[in-house]
Amino acid sequence: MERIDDTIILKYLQGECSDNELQQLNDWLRESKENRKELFTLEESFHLAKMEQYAAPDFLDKAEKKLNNKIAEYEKERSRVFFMKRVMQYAAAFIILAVGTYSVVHFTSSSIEDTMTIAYNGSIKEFSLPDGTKVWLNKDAVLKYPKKFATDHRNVSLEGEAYFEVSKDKKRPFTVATDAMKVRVLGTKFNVRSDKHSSLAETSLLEGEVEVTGNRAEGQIILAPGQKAELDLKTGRLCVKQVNAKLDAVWRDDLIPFEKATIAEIASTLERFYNVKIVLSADINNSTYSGVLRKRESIDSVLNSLKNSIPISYKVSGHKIYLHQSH
Amino acid sequence: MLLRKSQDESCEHTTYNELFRKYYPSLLFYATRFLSEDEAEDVVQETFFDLWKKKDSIEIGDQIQSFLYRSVYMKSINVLKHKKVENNYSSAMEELYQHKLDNYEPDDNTTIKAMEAQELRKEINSVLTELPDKCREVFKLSYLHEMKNKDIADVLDISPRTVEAHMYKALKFLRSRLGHLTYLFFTLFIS
Repeated sequence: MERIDDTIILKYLQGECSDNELQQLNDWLRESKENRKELFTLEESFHLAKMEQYAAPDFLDKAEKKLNNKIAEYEKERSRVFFMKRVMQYAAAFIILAVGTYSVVHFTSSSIEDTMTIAYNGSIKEFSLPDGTKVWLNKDAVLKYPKKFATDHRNVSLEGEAYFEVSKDKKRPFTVATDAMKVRVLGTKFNVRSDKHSSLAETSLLEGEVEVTGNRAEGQIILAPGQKAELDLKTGRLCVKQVNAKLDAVWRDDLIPFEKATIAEIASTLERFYNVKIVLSADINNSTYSGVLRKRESIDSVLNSLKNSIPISYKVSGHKIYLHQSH
Repeated sequence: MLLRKSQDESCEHTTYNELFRKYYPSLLFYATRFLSEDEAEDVVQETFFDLWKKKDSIEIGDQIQSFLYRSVYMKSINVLKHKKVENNYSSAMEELYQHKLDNYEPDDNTTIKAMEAQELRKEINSVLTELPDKCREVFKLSYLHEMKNKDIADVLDISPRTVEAHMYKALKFLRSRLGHLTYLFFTLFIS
């Protein structure tokens, strides 16, 4: 088929081809690229006046406006999404900042900024903690505590020896943490001793109730008044001893009280207080004594006054003091 | 070339809108090769909208033209696929559309050039003006207003047979002149 009937082409251009006519057209189109080019170029020509319409300024303005509206809507939505993203970012940043700030404040409050440190400064002094708890620090002792206690606990840390008279507050347990043990109390009077250089850490209870926990899973003990918890850091043994707890805490006062104390007990109190070694002779009896010893500058002067009331004699030899029963 | 990345929003807008005004008519005409005018308008609008959305991610230079034609072409195919199912096209109709799609494949480098060739349009237009007045009027009503022969007859108050005769005459004239134009077209763009 060299040429196709104009009738079919005309019908095609006017969109009136029957299926059969379309089939004829296809047969012709299939023949060559030129045929296809001819039909479609003819079709273009037939519709060419449309181009003028499409290029008319009014027509373009309308189309452009339509597009710009679409873009404006899109940009608005996008900036809204972008804004929301920003809001979320800021919110996230704020949360991180808030948490960070809280953490910093929280942790520094228990470590650096708001932590108070008091240390033995030559004379034994009584300190009052923010909750009213009274603390006496012994020689070389260091106590750290927060400027302001938390609402649900009162934690202090101790190195060395201190005597506590804890204000009663059942809602806020008072905990003394040392390298060796933790002593948890509600309100009571007790003495904690945990020297860095000693293998023995101890807590003596005078009043109330305390819970002593070894830091290295040595166990937990609840003390009754007059009891002492001793933790042997070498063996890891945590045990309770019946003691004259008051004697363990005498160092805090200028007056050292003795209540039905044996010479051995008095000697060990003095040992601790003056950091000396007292060696008891075998003849020291088990008699008990009650009374008060006034603190003196040296162990020598204390013993000198003590021998006036108790039948003892002593001899100082280097760091050791030999105590004998005097007759 | 046309869309430069710019910090200045208004400048970007201007360039973009210039691009739109430059290509919209020919792209719309291109899309109407396959689709109705309404469908074609949607497709071209979508194409420019896509371009806007991608303006930050694609560097547009001289390839912008082929990007636009390719986009219109692909979108038209999608619309056609829908129409084919919706209108239950006959296999003959389908084949014809396939011929058309092949003919207007945008990767064929003559397609875009032909669409953008203002000279060729002018040529065809001048051919149409050479038609006798009545003949041109009939032909124009047919192609421009898509009127049926019967309606043209009513409007011009002539018989349908006369309308048909004018249409034949116009077509014959166009075909004869287009042979020359097609030749011109090929020498212009294939070389």
